[in-house]
Amino acid sequence: MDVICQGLTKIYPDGKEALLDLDLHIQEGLFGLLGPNGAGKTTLMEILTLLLEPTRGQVWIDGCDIRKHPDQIRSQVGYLPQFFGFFPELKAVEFLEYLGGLRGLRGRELKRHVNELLAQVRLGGVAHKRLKTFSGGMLRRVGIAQALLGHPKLIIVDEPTAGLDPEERVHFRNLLFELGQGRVVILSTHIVKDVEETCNQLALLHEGRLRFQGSPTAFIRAVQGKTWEFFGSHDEVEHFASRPNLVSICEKMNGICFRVVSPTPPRDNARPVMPNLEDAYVHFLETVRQAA
Amino acid sequence: MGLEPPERRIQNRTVMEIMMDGIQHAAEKPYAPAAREGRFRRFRRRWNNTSRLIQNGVQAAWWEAGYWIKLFLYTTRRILHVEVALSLAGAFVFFGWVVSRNLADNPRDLLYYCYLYFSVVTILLTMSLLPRERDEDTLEILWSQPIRRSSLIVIQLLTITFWQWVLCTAVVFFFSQYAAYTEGRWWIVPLVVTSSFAIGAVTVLISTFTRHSMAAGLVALLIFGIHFYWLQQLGPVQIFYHTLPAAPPALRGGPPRPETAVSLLSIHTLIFSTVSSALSYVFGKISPCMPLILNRFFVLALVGFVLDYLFRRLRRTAEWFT
Repeated sequence: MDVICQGLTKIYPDGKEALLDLDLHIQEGLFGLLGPNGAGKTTLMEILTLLLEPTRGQVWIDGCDIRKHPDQIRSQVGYLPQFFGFFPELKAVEFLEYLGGLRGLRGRELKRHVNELLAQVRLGGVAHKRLKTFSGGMLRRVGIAQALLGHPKLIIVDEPTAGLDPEERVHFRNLLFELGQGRVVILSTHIVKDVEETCNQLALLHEGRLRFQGSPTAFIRAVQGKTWEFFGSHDEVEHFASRPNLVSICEKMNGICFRVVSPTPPRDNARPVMPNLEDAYVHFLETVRQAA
Repeated sequence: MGLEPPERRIQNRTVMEIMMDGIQHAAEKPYAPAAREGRFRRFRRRWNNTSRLIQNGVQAAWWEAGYWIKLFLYTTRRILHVEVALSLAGAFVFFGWVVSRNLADNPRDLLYYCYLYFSVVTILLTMSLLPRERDEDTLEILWSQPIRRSSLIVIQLLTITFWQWVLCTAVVFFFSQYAAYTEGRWWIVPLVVTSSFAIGAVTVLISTFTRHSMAAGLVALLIFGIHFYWLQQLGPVQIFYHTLPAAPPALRGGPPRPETAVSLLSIHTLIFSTVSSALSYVFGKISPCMPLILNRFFVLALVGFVLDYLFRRLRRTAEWFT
């Protein structure tokens, strides 16, 4: 199972270029899609789920051209949109049975599958409660359950952990990791830590263009020896806060700790630290902006 | 990068593809010399091909029927309480008012108001059919399912129409008990129902052009209001076609339609009545039912045109719901 995009371009009727000549090869496992707002992540996912038609370019999912075999592709794709719409008057089990029915599942097989999915997302106890009574985290879990209906080979989740509490987020990440075994899971998020902890491949999009594709290790390697931490005073906060290469500021026992990505030490007392995905993300975006 | 599409195929093929395989398999292929193939073997081959084709067709129909039923049941669940409330409560108030004000001293007119009433109900139900799904973000989920988008809309419209049929039958049955003259009353039910379907299709189309469902409803009410009152002189080329006998012999001669509305457009009336008379004359010569048949063909054509345009529009401008 793999996804191949070649020369993928999407230009909206108002002239906005959401994607430009995107070449992407996604293999089995968890694939993280990173990028700032307006980078084209959601557009890419809507094209992969056939909600949007690309202006140019081609996409193959498991060897099938999405333009030629849309019905086949839809049956292979599970999608959890950023704004997950649900039918408030339905119970969780009814909602999944309804969507399962649209996916061609029937009778006992459908009921068994729905029960399995509800247990998998830890909603077995509230299966017969109406969706309007569910919390945000529970609704996201219903969303992921509906994306798993019919055992799709490609699962696309857009900002799945947004608005979840830390415990829910950890559980969700683990669930996504489980799902990534034997299929492609595309995870689009602003939360870099989620990608760092779960994905074995990632891509960085910026203004509709692909800026990086590879493993998180390779992504991080680019900022090896360029990540610094130093302690400063409260007066320096304003000075460093405006810098684009600043990753974080936090108050520690020794004072204010600044984390900066820079080819040279930003201050004399700065010490090199092990970079993480967030450092690499800031560095890449800054490099792209400077190049632009 | 020069990426080439892999030659692999998805294992879980759709029913449509299985069916197409069956059709291709069943098609005549260049074959080995016919003399080698005995009559029995040829018959068996054809029998196998035909049975496979039928089997695939049944399989496809079964698969389609499965989600059609799901959509029907869900739509029913979503709209039925509103539809029943609007239709029955409103019908009692509306027809009660019509009867009490002696606006329908001709029984034909009493039943004819079914058109007006059920059209309003249809518009109220269909104006938010797509906008509501779009606003609640459920359209994205539904359209990412492996079903035809056209089915989603058609089945929802059919569901509304089905319940219109049930409720219209109930209303006609109930109110015609208060009319002295009820000849041909059941004709009104299929006419109202098919017209409702057409009105629903047009309203759904309008709702894809407007940001709010309320605007779609108002535009649809305006269009069909004008159509109801002023374009009836067109004869068969209209949605609200009237087949009931004008009146029983004793009542003939009464004013058939609102005269104020007609007098506002006297020139149009002249033209329309001329066209109507000409059409009625031509088709009346062929068969007395011909105007009715022609009218329903017109409604069918209108529905076909509207739905075709709607589906093309939804495919072309899918951005509108994202």
